[in-house]
Amino acid sequence: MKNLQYLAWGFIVVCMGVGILIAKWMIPDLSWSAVAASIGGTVAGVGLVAAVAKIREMKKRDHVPDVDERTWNNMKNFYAAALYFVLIGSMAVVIVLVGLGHETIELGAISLYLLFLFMILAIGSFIVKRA
Amino acid sequence: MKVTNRIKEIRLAKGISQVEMAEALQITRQTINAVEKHKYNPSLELALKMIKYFNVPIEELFTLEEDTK
Repeated sequence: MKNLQYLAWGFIVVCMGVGILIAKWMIPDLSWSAVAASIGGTVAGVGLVAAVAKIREMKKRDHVPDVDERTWNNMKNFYAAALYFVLIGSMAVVIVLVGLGHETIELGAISLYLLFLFMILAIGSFIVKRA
Repeated sequence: MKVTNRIKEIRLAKGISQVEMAEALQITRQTINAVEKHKYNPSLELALKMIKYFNVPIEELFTLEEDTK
Protein backbone atom coordinates (compact mmCIF):
# COMPACT_ATOMS: atom_id res chain seq x y z
CA MET A 1 0.00 0.00 0.00
CA LYS A 2 2.88 2.36 0.85
CA ASN A 3 4.58 1.58 -2.49
CA LEU A 4 1.33 2.37 -4.29
CA GLN A 5 1.18 5.73 -2.52
CA TYR A 6 4.75 6.61 -3.55
CA LEU A 7 3.96 5.40 -7.09
CA ALA A 8 0.91 7.70 -7.16
CA TRP A 9 2.99 10.72 -6.05
CA GLY A 10 5.61 9.87 -8.71
CA PHE A 11 2.92 9.45 -11.37
CA ILE A 12 1.43 12.87 -10.54
CA VAL A 13 4.87 14.54 -10.80
CA VAL A 14 5.62 12.78 -14.13
CA CYS A 15 2.20 13.73 -15.57
CA MET A 16 2.63 17.37 -14.55
CA GLY A 17 6.16 17.38 -15.98
CA VAL A 18 4.92 15.93 -19.27
CA GLY A 19 2.15 18.58 -19.30
CA ILE A 20 4.73 21.35 -18.90
CA LEU A 21 6.86 19.86 -21.73
CA ILE A 22 3.75 19.68 -23.95
CA ALA A 23 3.15 23.37 -23.14
CA LYS A 24 6.74 24.11 -24.24
CA TRP A 25 6.13 22.15 -27.46
CA MET A 26 2.87 24.05 -28.13
CA ILE A 27 4.32 27.45 -27.19
CA PRO A 28 7.86 27.57 -28.63
CA ASP A 29 8.36 31.09 -27.22
CA LEU A 30 8.13 29.72 -23.67
CA SER A 31 11.61 30.06 -22.18
CA TRP A 32 13.45 27.03 -20.80
CA SER A 33 13.90 28.86 -17.51
CA ALA A 34 10.10 29.06 -17.17
CA VAL A 35 9.86 25.33 -17.99
CA ALA A 36 12.56 24.54 -15.40
CA ALA A 37 10.82 26.75 -12.81
CA SER A 38 7.47 25.02 -13.50
CA ILE A 39 8.97 21.54 -13.14
CA GLY A 40 10.83 22.61 -9.99
CA GLY A 41 7.66 24.14 -8.59
CA THR A 42 5.72 20.95 -9.35
CA VAL A 43 8.27 18.75 -7.59
CA ALA A 44 8.44 21.15 -4.62
CA GLY A 45 4.63 21.44 -4.40
CA VAL A 46 3.98 17.69 -4.53
CA GLY A 47 6.92 17.13 -2.16
CA LEU A 48 5.47 19.64 0.32
CA VAL A 49 2.03 17.96 0.25
CA ALA A 50 3.66 14.50 0.62
CA ALA A 51 5.81 15.76 3.54
CA VAL A 52 2.79 17.25 5.34
CA ALA A 53 0.90 13.96 4.84
CA LYS A 54 3.87 12.00 6.19
CA ILE A 55 4.23 14.27 9.26
CA ARG A 56 0.51 13.97 10.01
CA GLU A 57 0.76 10.20 9.72
CA MET A 58 3.76 10.09 12.09
CA LYS A 59 1.97 12.32 14.63
CA LYS A 60 -1.14 10.13 14.60
CA ARG A 61 -1.44 8.15 17.83
CA ASP A 62 -4.35 5.83 16.93
CA HIS A 63 -4.83 3.40 14.04
CA VAL A 64 -8.12 4.85 12.82
CA PRO A 65 -8.24 5.05 9.00
CA ASP A 66 -8.65 8.40 7.23
CA VAL A 67 -11.29 7.13 4.82
CA ASP A 68 -13.99 4.45 4.94
CA GLU A 69 -17.19 3.42 3.12
CA ARG A 70 -19.05 6.58 4.25
CA THR A 71 -16.26 8.82 2.93
CA TRP A 72 -16.40 7.11 -0.50
CA ASN A 73 -20.22 7.42 -0.51
CA ASN A 74 -19.98 11.14 0.29
CA MET A 75 -17.34 11.58 -2.43
CA LYS A 76 -19.52 9.80 -4.99
CA ASN A 77 -22.52 11.99 -4.08
CA PHE A 78 -20.35 15.12 -4.22
CA TYR A 79 -18.97 14.31 -7.69
CA ALA A 80 -22.44 13.33 -8.96
CA ALA A 81 -23.80 16.72 -7.81
CA ALA A 82 -20.68 18.59 -9.01
CA LEU A 83 -21.11 17.11 -12.49
CA TYR A 84 -24.49 18.82 -12.88
CA PHE A 85 -23.15 22.12 -11.52
CA VAL A 86 -20.19 21.97 -13.94
CA LEU A 87 -22.37 21.07 -16.94
CA ILE A 88 -25.10 23.62 -16.19
CA GLY A 89 -22.54 26.26 -15.13
CA SER A 90 -20.50 25.78 -18.31
CA MET A 91 -23.65 26.00 -20.43
CA ALA A 92 -24.65 29.20 -18.58
CA VAL A 93 -21.20 30.72 -19.19
CA VAL A 94 -21.44 29.87 -22.91
CA ILE A 95 -24.94 31.38 -23.13
CA VAL A 96 -23.79 34.56 -21.37
CA LEU A 97 -20.72 34.86 -23.65
CA VAL A 98 -22.84 34.33 -26.77
CA GLY A 99 -25.33 36.88 -25.41
CA LEU A 100 -22.49 39.37 -24.98
CA GLY A 101 -21.57 38.89 -28.63
CA HIS A 102 -18.48 36.67 -28.30
CA GLU A 103 -18.04 34.19 -31.13
CA THR A 104 -14.79 32.52 -30.08
CA ILE A 105 -13.15 31.57 -26.80
CA GLU A 106 -9.38 31.73 -26.34
CA LEU A 107 -7.62 28.56 -25.27
CA GLY A 108 -6.01 30.55 -22.45
CA ALA A 109 -9.45 31.49 -21.10
CA ILE A 110 -10.58 27.85 -21.26
CA SER A 111 -7.45 26.66 -19.45
CA LEU A 112 -8.02 29.26 -16.72
CA TYR A 113 -11.67 28.14 -16.43
CA LEU A 114 -10.58 24.48 -16.16
CA LEU A 115 -7.96 25.42 -13.55
CA PHE A 116 -10.68 27.19 -11.55
CA LEU A 117 -12.98 24.15 -11.84
CA PHE A 118 -10.24 21.76 -10.71
CA MET A 119 -9.44 24.00 -7.75
CA ILE A 120 -13.09 24.18 -6.68
CA LEU A 121 -13.48 20.38 -7.06
CA ALA A 122 -10.27 19.75 -5.09
CA ILE A 123 -11.38 22.05 -2.25
CA GLY A 124 -14.84 20.44 -2.29
CA SER A 125 -13.36 16.93 -2.14
CA PHE A 126 -11.19 17.95 0.80
CA ILE A 127 -14.19 19.35 2.70
CA VAL A 128 -16.33 16.27 1.90
CA LYS A 129 -13.52 13.94 3.03
CA ARG A 130 -13.33 15.73 6.36
CA ALA A 131 -17.13 15.81 6.94
CA MET B 1 -39.24 2.92 6.83
CA LYS B 2 -36.41 4.07 9.07
CA VAL B 3 -33.57 1.99 10.45
CA THR B 4 -32.72 2.73 14.05
CA ASN B 5 -29.90 1.29 16.10
CA ARG B 6 -28.80 0.89 19.70
CA ILE B 7 -25.07 1.10 18.95
CA LYS B 8 -24.34 4.01 21.31
CA GLU B 9 -26.26 2.37 24.15
CA ILE B 10 -24.52 -1.00 23.71
CA ARG B 11 -21.10 0.60 23.16
CA LEU B 12 -21.37 2.66 26.35
CA ALA B 13 -22.67 -0.35 28.31
CA LYS B 14 -19.56 -2.28 27.26
CA GLY B 15 -17.32 0.70 28.12
CA ILE B 16 -15.95 1.05 24.59
CA SER B 17 -14.89 4.44 23.23
CA GLN B 18 -15.63 5.59 19.66
CA VAL B 19 -11.89 5.56 18.84
CA GLU B 20 -11.49 1.96 20.11
CA MET B 21 -14.46 0.87 18.04
CA ALA B 22 -13.19 2.77 14.98
CA GLU B 23 -9.79 1.08 15.29
CA ALA B 24 -11.33 -2.37 15.66
CA LEU B 25 -13.73 -1.98 12.72
CA GLN B 26 -11.30 0.09 10.60
CA ILE B 27 -13.77 2.93 10.07
CA THR B 28 -13.57 6.63 10.94
CA ARG B 29 -14.83 8.04 14.22
CA GLN B 30 -17.09 10.37 12.21
CA THR B 31 -18.84 7.34 10.69
CA ILE B 32 -19.56 5.90 14.15
CA ASN B 33 -20.95 9.26 15.19
CA ALA B 34 -23.12 9.46 12.06
CA VAL B 35 -24.45 5.90 12.56
CA GLU B 36 -25.17 6.50 16.26
CA LYS B 37 -27.07 9.69 15.42
CA HIS B 38 -29.05 7.84 12.70
CA LYS B 39 -27.63 10.13 10.01
CA TYR B 40 -26.02 7.26 8.10
CA ASN B 41 -27.08 3.65 7.58
CA PRO B 42 -24.03 1.35 7.51
CA SER B 43 -23.52 -1.08 4.64
CA LEU B 44 -24.48 -4.72 5.19
CA GLU B 45 -20.78 -5.54 5.54
CA LEU B 46 -20.24 -2.94 8.25
CA ALA B 47 -23.48 -3.90 10.01
CA LEU B 48 -22.32 -7.55 10.14
CA LYS B 49 -18.92 -6.45 11.44
CA MET B 50 -20.67 -4.48 14.20
CA ILE B 51 -22.81 -7.47 15.17
CA LYS B 52 -19.68 -9.63 15.38
CA TYR B 53 -17.81 -6.93 17.30
CA PHE B 54 -20.51 -6.49 19.94
CA ASN B 55 -21.46 -10.19 19.86
CA VAL B 56 -25.19 -9.46 19.87
CA PRO B 57 -28.04 -10.65 17.60
CA ILE B 58 -28.90 -8.36 14.68
CA GLU B 59 -32.36 -7.46 16.04
CA GLU B 60 -30.74 -6.18 19.23
CA LEU B 61 -28.52 -3.77 17.29
CA PHE B 62 -30.76 -2.70 14.39
CA THR B 63 -34.52 -2.20 14.17
CA LEU B 64 -36.64 -1.38 11.16
CA GLU B 65 -39.30 1.12 12.17
CA GLU B 66 -42.48 0.62 10.17
CA ASP B 67 -44.29 3.67 8.77
CA THR B 68 -47.45 4.52 10.70
CA LYS B 69 -49.26 5.69 7.52
